[in-house]
Amino acid sequence: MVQDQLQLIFREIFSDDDLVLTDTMTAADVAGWDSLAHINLIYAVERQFSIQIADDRLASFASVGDLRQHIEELRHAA
Amino acid sequence: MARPGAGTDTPAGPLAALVARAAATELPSAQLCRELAVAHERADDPDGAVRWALALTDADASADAGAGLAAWSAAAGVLRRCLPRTRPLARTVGSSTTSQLTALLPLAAARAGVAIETYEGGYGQYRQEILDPASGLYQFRPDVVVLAVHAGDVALPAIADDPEGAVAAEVSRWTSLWDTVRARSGARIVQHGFALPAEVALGHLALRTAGARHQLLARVNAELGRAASAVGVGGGDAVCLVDCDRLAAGVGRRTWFDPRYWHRARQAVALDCVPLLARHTAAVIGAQLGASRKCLVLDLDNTLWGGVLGEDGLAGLALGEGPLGEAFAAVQDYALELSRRGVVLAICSKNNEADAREAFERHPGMRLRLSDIAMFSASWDDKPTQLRRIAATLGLGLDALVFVDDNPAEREAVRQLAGEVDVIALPTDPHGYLRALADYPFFEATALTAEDATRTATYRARADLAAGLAAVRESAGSLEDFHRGLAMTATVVALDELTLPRVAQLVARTNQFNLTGRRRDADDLAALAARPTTAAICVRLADRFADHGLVAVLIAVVDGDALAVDTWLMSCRVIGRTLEDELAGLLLAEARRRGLARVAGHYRASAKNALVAGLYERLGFTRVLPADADVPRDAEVTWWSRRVDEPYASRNLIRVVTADHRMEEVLG
Repeated sequence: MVQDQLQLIFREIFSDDDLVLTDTMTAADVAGWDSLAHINLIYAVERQFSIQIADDRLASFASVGDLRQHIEELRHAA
Repeated sequence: MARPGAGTDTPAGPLAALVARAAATELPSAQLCRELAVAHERADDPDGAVRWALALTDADASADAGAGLAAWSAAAGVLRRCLPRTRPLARTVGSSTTSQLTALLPLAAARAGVAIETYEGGYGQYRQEILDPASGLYQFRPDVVVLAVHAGDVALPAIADDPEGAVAAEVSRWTSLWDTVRARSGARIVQHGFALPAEVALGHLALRTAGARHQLLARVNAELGRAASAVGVGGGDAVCLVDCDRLAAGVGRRTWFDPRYWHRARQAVALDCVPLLARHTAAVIGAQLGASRKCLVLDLDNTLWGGVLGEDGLAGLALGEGPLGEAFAAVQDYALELSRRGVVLAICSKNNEADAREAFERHPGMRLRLSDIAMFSASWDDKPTQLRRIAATLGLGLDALVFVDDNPAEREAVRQLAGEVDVIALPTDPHGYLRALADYPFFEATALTAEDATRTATYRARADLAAGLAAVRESAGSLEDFHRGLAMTATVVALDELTLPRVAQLVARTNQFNLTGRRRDADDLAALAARPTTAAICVRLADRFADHGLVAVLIAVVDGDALAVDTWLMSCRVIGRTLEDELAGLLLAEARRRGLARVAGHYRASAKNALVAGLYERLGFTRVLPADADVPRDAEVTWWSRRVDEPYASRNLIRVVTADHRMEEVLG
């Protein structure tokens, strides 16, 4: 569920409807994943899942799986 | 907006499923619009893709919160790929992160009726960009500079000892930036006004403290507005402001500014609100570039009053009294305000005309009078037909009209069958009507003139003229007399820096009377006009009722022994005035002056230009095969030629004069 919604967000942000998310994906694997796209991504994630990602985690996601896990934790805590 | 998908072939596969989902709802969500835009792009249907990308900007973003910015960004990407542009150019310069705004502006502007390309200045570099003559801003030669600034850029202390001086100093700091841009580039400027912050340390005391920053910010906004209205000559559209404080107040100041994203990434406007800001910035750019809508077309039953006149009778209408009656009265008052600021009002109703007019004359709750209405269309014809009649009568394109109706079926019919008309979807509750009208941003104007308050009267005169014309047509034979009575004068003007914007606008937007369908942009046109082998004939038309402005463009280039038509178009305002006959005469004379043997033309059929399919033939041209063997024998293109030594007699119903010295010789 989170994975599906996350994939949709990625497809929108990166204008790529073929994009298939995997847990091991990193910024280096996605064309256009720069600092601006990252802010747009974090914003869309926060809005979509009604969560607030802490400032100290902003830049520290090692992979898509890491981000997904963090989203699930925050949702669980809510 | 045209209902996307209207008129397209039945799509297959996943696209069909999406189209079916969209058909089930009047206003598909932003999310669905995005998917449709992408699916059309994949199906190699760029027109469909663009239509859905534009439809997305009207979708209620709040219905799927969070989809707003991301969906807009995706749609902006579709537009960029399917409708590539180079001009006009807008450059955003600011003090905060303006990347999202810059990316969304072409989409928002396309929705506002102007296709633009945008470039972003260096982050936080607005002063340097403006003050340094060698900066990127001037190298890009933008048509519009968007000063995307915010309250944090205003240098005011918490409490100023000298409030007047502080305001004056701040205002002059901005106006001197405007002056520099204007002096160095001639670009128009759109500046974001300052949104007041939600947090005020002085509390309510701020209102009693003359030097309070909160108060001074509001005064700076007002003074900037005053200064902007004084910049430029005539229309004064050189500097326009976007009232960000109003936008912020509308969504809530705490929604407009999100400290988390300000501190994280210097987003001075919360990302949620960037689409709204883009929409309104684009509306102002659209107004500067002449793309605003002109005419508000109102339904009657359950739109201007509660109830159905034909069933409930005059006495049964809800209007003026009671909560519902007050809601409708408020809508009428708002329409009146729009009328006083220059929006032309028309009525489009399915009713007996006499009954509907009687309601205007006799119902005590009516705020609108018959004299406020430029064209009163009440009949049992379908609304798309009535709208076409209204547009034709008022001398406007359908793309100048905005249609308001409480009935979703009527709205849908208009979207399907008169897609150029903008449709405002009223909510089911009449208490929400006024807000739906007020949220529509594309009546934006750059200045308020004395003429605005009386525009409806001017258009009524035009409607009366059209009625006269119809009467003349019925009494066959005297159409020539009628034309002669109009005392028409065509003035030939040069294609130069003064006329280029209007010519580019005509080239970009004219569909019906357009022989070749070439969409050259301003740069392209300027380059073409500069060549000695190019003849560019631009014509203004005036008659005793109105000055129609620059309405016809004919560009031809020397090709062997012929002067060959490159672009030939006329505004729909002047179709049926025999102006094309005069243009053909001018073209033949120009070819003769250049010592050429003939004039060559071609007609490329489009979805909208059947009107001129037979034009060359009527003007005495002979159909030929394309001279160039490489030209594909395209079924959609016909080729024509006319010798200059064959006599040509124009109908002489228009006096032709020239303001273009190069044409003096031609006119003799």
